[in-house]
Amino acid sequence: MTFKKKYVVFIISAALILWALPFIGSENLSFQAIWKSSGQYALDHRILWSLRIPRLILVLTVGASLAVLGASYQVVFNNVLAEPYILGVSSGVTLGLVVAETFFDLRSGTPQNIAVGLLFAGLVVMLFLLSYQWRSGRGLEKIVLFGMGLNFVFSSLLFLVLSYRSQSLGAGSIRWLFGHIPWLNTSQSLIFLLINLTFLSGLWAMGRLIDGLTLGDSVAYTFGFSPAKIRGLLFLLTSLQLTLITSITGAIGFIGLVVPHCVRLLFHPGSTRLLFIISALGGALFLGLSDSLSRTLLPPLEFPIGVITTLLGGPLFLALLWKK
Amino acid sequence: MTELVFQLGYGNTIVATSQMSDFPDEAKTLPRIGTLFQPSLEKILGFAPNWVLIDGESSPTDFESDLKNLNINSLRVSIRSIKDLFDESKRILKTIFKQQSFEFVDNQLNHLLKEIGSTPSDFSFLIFAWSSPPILVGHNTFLSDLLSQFGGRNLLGDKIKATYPQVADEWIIKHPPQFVFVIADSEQQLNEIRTSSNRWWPKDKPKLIFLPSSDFARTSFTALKNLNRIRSQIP
Repeated sequence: MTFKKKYVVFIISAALILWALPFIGSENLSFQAIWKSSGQYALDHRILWSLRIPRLILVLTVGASLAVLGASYQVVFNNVLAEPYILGVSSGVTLGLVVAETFFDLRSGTPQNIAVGLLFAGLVVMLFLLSYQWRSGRGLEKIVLFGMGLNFVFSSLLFLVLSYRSQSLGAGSIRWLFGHIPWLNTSQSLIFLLINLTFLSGLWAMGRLIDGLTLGDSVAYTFGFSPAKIRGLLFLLTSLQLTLITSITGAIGFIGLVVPHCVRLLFHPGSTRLLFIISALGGALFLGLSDSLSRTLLPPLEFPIGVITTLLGGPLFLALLWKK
Repeated sequence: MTELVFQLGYGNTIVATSQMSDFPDEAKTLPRIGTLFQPSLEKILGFAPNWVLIDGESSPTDFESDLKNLNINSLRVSIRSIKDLFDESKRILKTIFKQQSFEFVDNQLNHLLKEIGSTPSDFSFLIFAWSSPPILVGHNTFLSDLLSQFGGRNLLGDKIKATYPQVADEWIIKHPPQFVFVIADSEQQLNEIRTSSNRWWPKDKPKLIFLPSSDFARTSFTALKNLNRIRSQIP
């Protein structure tokens, strides 16, 4: 199949999936519920417009953002295994939120709780930037390893707190480990979308600079910019966005790793910006389908979304690798 | 389980218990042998107990064989219903304490039958353990069984085998119960469910009943002592 045909097929499939997604869930909804809000359609109308549509906006935004963040990490760190959660930022945020909830009784979603989460995230970013400054010129893999080390420490602390907490409070802890899509209303979802679009625009604007980074640091210098500063800026920007996403949904794994790889294998995008666009669309569709599947596999149960993304993404990724 | 042994009258025979066993008050001073999920065999060995009572719902599956290898007697007890509570209590009394009459257990049974009355009502309910994500208490649990003794019907149904399943919001919206029981540690948790409840069912507002974890979350006779709290609120 030629690349042009691939793009056409991808876009048509994406449009069809996007159209179908609001109608896939644990409850069957009538199509007439789109416009009819009274009588027998009242409940379906409410589920569609006040639950599924805001949820879809949130899911598509998170999916697109995680995929773009993954793509940018892989380019910036020149490491095919880099993904948004590899550097410990999200583990830091998650630990902060759980500590706030467990020891200070600050319920999730409250400004105080998010402030503690942000504080932890800030700590990780600061440690990382310091390490980056220190390690500058000594190879990116060491920075990634430092990030992985932080990730392990924070993840272990998180498990420690959760194992204590699960006995005292019982439920709900799993959402931090495997992700959860909360019920936001339409305006909250749209605000979330707008903030994420702002971050993604920042990444888009840096697309050419990231292209420069892929050619190597010495080439980047000849283009007239400092790779160290660009990486630092990118890390700051992506960390902030990741903090925002993690504080709402917890950690949803695999998208940031698998989607950019699949995009590269299928489309061979010639520039970082093109990679970002296709990854965003692919990530949104992937998480959208995963979310629908999490609610339709065994209704009325809803499975943690991170489990579904890994279950879907793993075999898909292996199949693509095998084929190529 | 610790509380159950105290209620059966043998609290003074317990030499140690698990980390979070805080009921009754006397249990708070007992030495600990680790968590229910990860008990320390070394500590257990140190206490040289004649028997180890295992909570079948939470303890590791290989715990029994580990104890057997250490030549320690163990009894695994699983309580998922009212019937289990009575049967297992009698099994503990008979196996460990070699008791042949079960006066306390029989009195509790009589108390339960008296509280339920002769004509149980018919009502639908859901039990919430968490609001976001919505985590319910399944059909196959002690608490759900206790409510069904009053004629209640857990809308989750018996097809869902999980004890604490996470359920989709849209299913909750489409299945409004008459009663929502909230098993919680604090008023704050109750308020969270109340807020969620108003979102799920803005029109058909079910009656919210707060069941404190300290009285209803444990599989012992404590829940039976507090039955009047349920009885007074259901039709």
